[in-house]
This record gives sequence, structure tokens and C-alpha cells, in this order.
Amino acid sequence: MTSQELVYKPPVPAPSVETVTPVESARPSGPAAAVVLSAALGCLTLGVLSVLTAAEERFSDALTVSDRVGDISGITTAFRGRVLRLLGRLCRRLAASRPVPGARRRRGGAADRARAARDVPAVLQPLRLTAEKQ
Amino acid sequence: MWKTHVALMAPMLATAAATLVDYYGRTLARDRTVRNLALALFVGAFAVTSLAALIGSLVTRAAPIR
Repeated sequence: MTSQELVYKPPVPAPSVETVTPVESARPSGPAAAVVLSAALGCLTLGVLSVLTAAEERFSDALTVSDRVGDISGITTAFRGRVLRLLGRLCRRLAASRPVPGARRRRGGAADRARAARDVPAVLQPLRLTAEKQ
Repeated sequence: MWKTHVALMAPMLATAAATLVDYYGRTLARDRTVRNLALALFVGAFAVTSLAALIGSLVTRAAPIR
């Protein structure tokens, strides 16, 4: 027995796919965008209606739901309906949109495992080819 | 005209911020973009409320005179 055979050689660990811990999945950004957009468009509607009622007497008369309140009753009613309609429509359209930019992606799923198995470093490529043949 | 309507924006902005917080939940702690968005909406609601209060106080000073 030679001296080189007596030297302890630690076992080479088998190449393993990087283990990732699953984190909380990123929520789609569609509903959030719908909320912000509906708030912005609601503000726009409010501004347009208030300008129109101040500029035109016809609009003011048309928007007077309650005589004791005046045209602001119609403005708030139309404004609330507009916001709710916009919110519903935008939520439906944007519900399945992309995740939030910068948010963490869910890791550890089947797609990530397949990607990790595909992206084997060049040093380990022979091992991968051998495993595929077997 | 504007003084009577500016306060209507505050509940809308605050509701948008509350909806974001309710929707994202704990993800809000990690996601800077959505956190800043909710913060901006809520600060905007406070700013609009302050503006409405300021305009209202000025109006109540001037209204009895004219």
C-alpha cells in the first residue's frame, strides 16, 4: 500500500440541484393597477363634472337630484357610480396581468427545478449526459 | 367651486390605499413598489384633507362678510 493510498480522500458529494426555499408568491399587479387607475379616473370625472356644472346651467340642472342639496348631489352620485363601474371593469381586465415589478417570484416549483436541471454547469455536463443515457 | 369638491378625493385615495393593503397583505413588507404606492395614496389623501380643511376655514371666515 503506497502512501498516496493511505491519504484520506473525502467522498465527493453528488452534484445536487440548488435547493431553494419557497417564498410567498407575488400577487398579480392587475387589481392594484385597477384600484389606482379607477381612483385617478374618478378624480378626473369629479373635476370634469364640477367644471361643467359651474360653466353650464343645463348641466347643473340635470345633475340636481335633490333640490335642497343642489347639483353636488348629482355630481357625487355620478362620481360614485363612475368609480365603481371603472373598478369592476378594470379588475376584470387586469386580474390576470403580470406580477408586480420587483416582487419576488415563487421559487422551488416544477419550472424552477426543470430550469436548474437544464442549466447544469459545464464541468458537470458529462455527468448529466451519463444520467440521461441511463 | 373647487373648495366644495376637493374633499371628495380624500376618501377615494384612502380607499385605494386600504384596498392595496388588504390585497397584498404581507407581500407589502417585501415589495417596495407597492409599499410606496400605498404610501403615496395615503399621504395624498391626508394632503387633500388638509387642503380642504384650510380652504374650509378660509371660507368660513370670508363667507359671513360677503
